[in-house]
Amino acid sequence: MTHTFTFGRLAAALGLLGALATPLAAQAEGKISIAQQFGIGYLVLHVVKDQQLIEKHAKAQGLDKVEVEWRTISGATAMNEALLAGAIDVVSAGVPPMLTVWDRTHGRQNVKAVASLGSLPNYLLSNREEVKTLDDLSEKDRIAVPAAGVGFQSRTLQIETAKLYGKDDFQRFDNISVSLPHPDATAALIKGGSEITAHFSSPPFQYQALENPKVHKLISSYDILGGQATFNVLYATEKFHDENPKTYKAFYDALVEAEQIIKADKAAAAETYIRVENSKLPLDFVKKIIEDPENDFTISPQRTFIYAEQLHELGVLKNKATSWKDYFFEEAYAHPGS
Amino acid sequence: MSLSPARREEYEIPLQPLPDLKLERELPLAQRLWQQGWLRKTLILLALALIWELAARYQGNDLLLPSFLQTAKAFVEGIGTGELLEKVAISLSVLIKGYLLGIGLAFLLTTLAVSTQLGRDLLSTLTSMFNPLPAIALLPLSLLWFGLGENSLIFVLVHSVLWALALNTYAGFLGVSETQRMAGRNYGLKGLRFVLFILIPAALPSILAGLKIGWAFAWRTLIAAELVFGASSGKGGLGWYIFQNRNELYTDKVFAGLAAVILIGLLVENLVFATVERVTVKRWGMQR
Repeated sequence: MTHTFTFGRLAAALGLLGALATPLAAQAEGKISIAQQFGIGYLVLHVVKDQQLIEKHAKAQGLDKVEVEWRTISGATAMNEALLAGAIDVVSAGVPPMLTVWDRTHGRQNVKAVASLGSLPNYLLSNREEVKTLDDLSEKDRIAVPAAGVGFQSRTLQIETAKLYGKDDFQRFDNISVSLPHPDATAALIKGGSEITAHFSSPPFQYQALENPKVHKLISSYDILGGQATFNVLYATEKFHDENPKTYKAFYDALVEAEQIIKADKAAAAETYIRVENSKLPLDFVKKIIEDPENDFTISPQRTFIYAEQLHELGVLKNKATSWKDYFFEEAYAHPGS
Repeated sequence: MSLSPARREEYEIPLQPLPDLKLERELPLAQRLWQQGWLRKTLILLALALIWELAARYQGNDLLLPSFLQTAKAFVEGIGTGELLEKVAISLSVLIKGYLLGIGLAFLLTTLAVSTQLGRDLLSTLTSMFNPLPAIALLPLSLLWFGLGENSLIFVLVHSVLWALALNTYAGFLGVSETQRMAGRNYGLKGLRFVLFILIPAALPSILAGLKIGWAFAWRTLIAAELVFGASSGKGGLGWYIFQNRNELYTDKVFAGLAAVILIGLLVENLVFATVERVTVKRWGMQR
């Protein structure tokens, strides 16, 4: 196998890719595909799916038929690729990955956020007794995060690091971060004996880990951001938003109603989650998470602007946002946001 | 009256002295240029780059497919800031460690296999067991055994190099002609010296093929393993560079990382392997 041949193959594949990836034809109204991830953070979408709220609100918009396609994708990177390739209309991930796409597509596809999926804290946990604060973490430790350096957890940690050790040192903990999916990291932390001594977790995994007496909390994302803050957001391209005003409106209204449904009956919401996700978690455990005052399944963005500001200052984002409205579509302005 | 036919007079025609004619003819310039291998390959590369550039411009979405010029710019910037070079250095150091270790082990196994019955059985059993296993499938296992870090990468690298090379070398050893073997035995060569002085030179074409395959496998495995996990994010190599930039949506840097892999492949192929072949198998007339 000669390498020129490899190069030739690569180029041929590229040409093919170029031919295949031509922007898909404009979609007619009445079609929407949505991608979600695993976890309790997506409860709002579970309710929308379970109660067929998009179909209901599409009728109110005068669309007699709406095709809704639900997909589950893991990880912000895959989400972004699916969105940019035009394979999926609306995707969901943490606030920092959304801001990254907004930043890179500024003036091109103009990706913006649709709505928040709720404010949930993410805890940084450790199973080493001598580690009480961030300062105690050393070269001996390894922090597990879903996507080292770029995910929600790493970005949140970077903001705190910049606060503690100065702006130039914001990637200090990235050097001891390891990319591991939440379930594996949780298992490693509870079991002990591996190199993983810390884990920047998220719900429901952090609650499972904390049930173990050896595991304790170092800091919560709420401490870093100064209060309740959005965890996941939905985002879409400007093209989809502008070409499908009715479908978009139906989707947004469905989200509004899902929030009301959850807040009206949290026990029923817990049942919905277990049913839709086929979850093995006990009902009481899920109910406890949903009823926890820290967790707010609201579609109004909270404290997202802190990320936009800080990440621009750290040089991660090139474009400077003046307010949260810069990276949200106008339908969201009807609700309070920050 | 004689019946013999009339005789013709013999005569000689003196040759004209040759005017100033060149004995060798110059080929036209175009044909002479076309004989240059590097030029032909450069032209192919340029054509591919042009197709790439046009496809990217036509598609007009540089987050999915950056153009050739953007990639080249990202590549030059990566070299300029030293980031790309640093990542290449990290990757290459791990790669060479794993590669050399794999070569050593393969040599050991095949030496055993040509000298003893048990070694033969061992080699054939092990290769049939492990060769079909993709090295990446062993990554979780090596993480358990060696922890996160260079050692588990080296483990999967050795796995990817070892079997391909051992198989090729062994096949080459078996193909050594009986004449050469007898010549070796005549000199009283046995065991390791027999392998070193007779078998290895005689089987060098297949050994070199095995080395090339092993090198490509090792690269693939390393990049894939780093894509799955950087040893830790601060110390990852090229694969980690590609992975991180994919996460950050710097697609031009992703392509620059891929280009670095390709360039290193071309360099090793055209400098290292080609040189070794020139001074050995080609010089000895074993290979065209």
